[in-house]
Amino acid sequence: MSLKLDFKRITREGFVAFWRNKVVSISTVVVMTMTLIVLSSLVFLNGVLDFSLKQLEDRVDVNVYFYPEVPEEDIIALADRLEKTSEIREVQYISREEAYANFKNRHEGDPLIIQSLEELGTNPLGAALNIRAYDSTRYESIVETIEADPAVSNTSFVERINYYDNKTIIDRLNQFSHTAHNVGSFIIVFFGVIALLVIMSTIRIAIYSSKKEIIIKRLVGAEPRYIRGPFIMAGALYGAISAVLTMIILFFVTQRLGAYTETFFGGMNLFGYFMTNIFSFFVLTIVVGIIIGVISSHFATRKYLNV
Amino acid sequence: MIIFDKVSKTYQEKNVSVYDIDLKINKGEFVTLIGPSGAGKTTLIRLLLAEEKPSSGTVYFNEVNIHNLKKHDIPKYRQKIGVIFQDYKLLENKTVFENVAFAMEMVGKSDKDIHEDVPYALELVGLSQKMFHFPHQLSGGEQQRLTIARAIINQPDILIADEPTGSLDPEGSKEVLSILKKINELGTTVIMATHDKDIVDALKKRVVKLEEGRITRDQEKGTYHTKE
Repeated sequence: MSLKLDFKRITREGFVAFWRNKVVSISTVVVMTMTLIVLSSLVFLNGVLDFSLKQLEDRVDVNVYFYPEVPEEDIIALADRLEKTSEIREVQYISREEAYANFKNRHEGDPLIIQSLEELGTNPLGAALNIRAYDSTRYESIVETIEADPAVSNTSFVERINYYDNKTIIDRLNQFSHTAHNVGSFIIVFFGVIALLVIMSTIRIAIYSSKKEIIIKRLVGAEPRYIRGPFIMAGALYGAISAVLTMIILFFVTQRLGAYTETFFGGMNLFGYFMTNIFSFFVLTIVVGIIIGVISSHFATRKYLNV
Repeated sequence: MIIFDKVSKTYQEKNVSVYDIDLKINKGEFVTLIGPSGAGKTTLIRLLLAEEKPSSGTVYFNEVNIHNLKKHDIPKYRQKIGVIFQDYKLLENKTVFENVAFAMEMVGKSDKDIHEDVPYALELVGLSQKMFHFPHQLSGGEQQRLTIARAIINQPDILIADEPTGSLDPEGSKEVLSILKKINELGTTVIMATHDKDIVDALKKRVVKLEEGRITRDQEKGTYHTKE
């Protein structure tokens, strides 16, 4: 039999079987859709976790304070050198005047400090560099890079680096972030595996209901590919339809919840996240749906083809 | 040619077994298997279909030991056999037309051939008016006739009929019998297991009687009961 004719018949039979076994097909698609929604929710959970941890990590920075007499151009030259470092995301120069203004603003309600400052007559504060890393675990190595700079090793250049004051908090944050990622990944894998097992069992049950049909086809001389093919085709169809339904449901649900989630998750809009990653979501659901549909059908039919 | 060479099949969980069966069926023969329920008629059919393996002995079809066939060769072997099952074994989700067409698709027949031959076979068994019905919409007799259409559509080398008249009235039984005779006249070997005394007597073909799993009579142009 030609492959083309074979494929045409298997495809047609898969579609016809899908249509005629409506109850089985609908219940399988419903279970698969629910499972794909759970899987997609895990992806959302991962997105929320990443976003929250990123926000927390973004609050971490390191300030390098310079002596008041250090020339501005030397500090800017150092800032330029640091900006070229791959680990550093941003270097912000805070001039002596800005530092003075910030200090005054911060202590506005404290007349004693404001009075002392005015009595001094001059600006006692030095300029500073505010440094942010891409990765909060890299601050130690960034500080080492700063300290190794020939200009910094000069004792009358850098007065203080506040990394050492905040080291414990940064370390704790990094540890928390690491643990949260691990727990998040475990939850995703755990529920992901459960979701896949649910899909596989659903398809097994769907095929179990056709056990008699498989046995009859075998007895009238049907070759295994001709028996298995339509089930695999129907499995792929279950997956594809469930994926499309999942996308439609996610669209409307995230659209409804988007505004609430923005307040709840501190700026993260689930609808925005969904729309930004819509292609990845679609690929994930359709690939998982079809592949699992096909693999489950393949294994479920194997059991009845062994006579 | 079919040969059962000292074939025994015993089951642990069932009473039905066959012992030491020596049987040779020539090409084009019409053989009637008779005997009470549980005598082993269906077991012999299952062995011939390679649905079961013998506990001992060998079953040959055209000098090939069918139980030595590789798994992927079994469908090809079964395509040479048309079977009228006692419990019909129809595909419930396929229409009358599709049930017969399925057997043709299995052997790689073209859509054109299928659309020409299936209506002809359905007309032969009197089901052309019910082509698009599903099996559950047919009576027992109609389902039986549908299995006949499916069994003969590919002009098999062997036609096995397991109680083909079991659910038919005398008129229906006669019709089925005449179809089987016609197929046999065209050169197909027919093996029919039956309880129907009238049919066996009317046929006057070779009769093989099984009792408690053993062949107790093998008679050319035999009848249901021995005339001694």
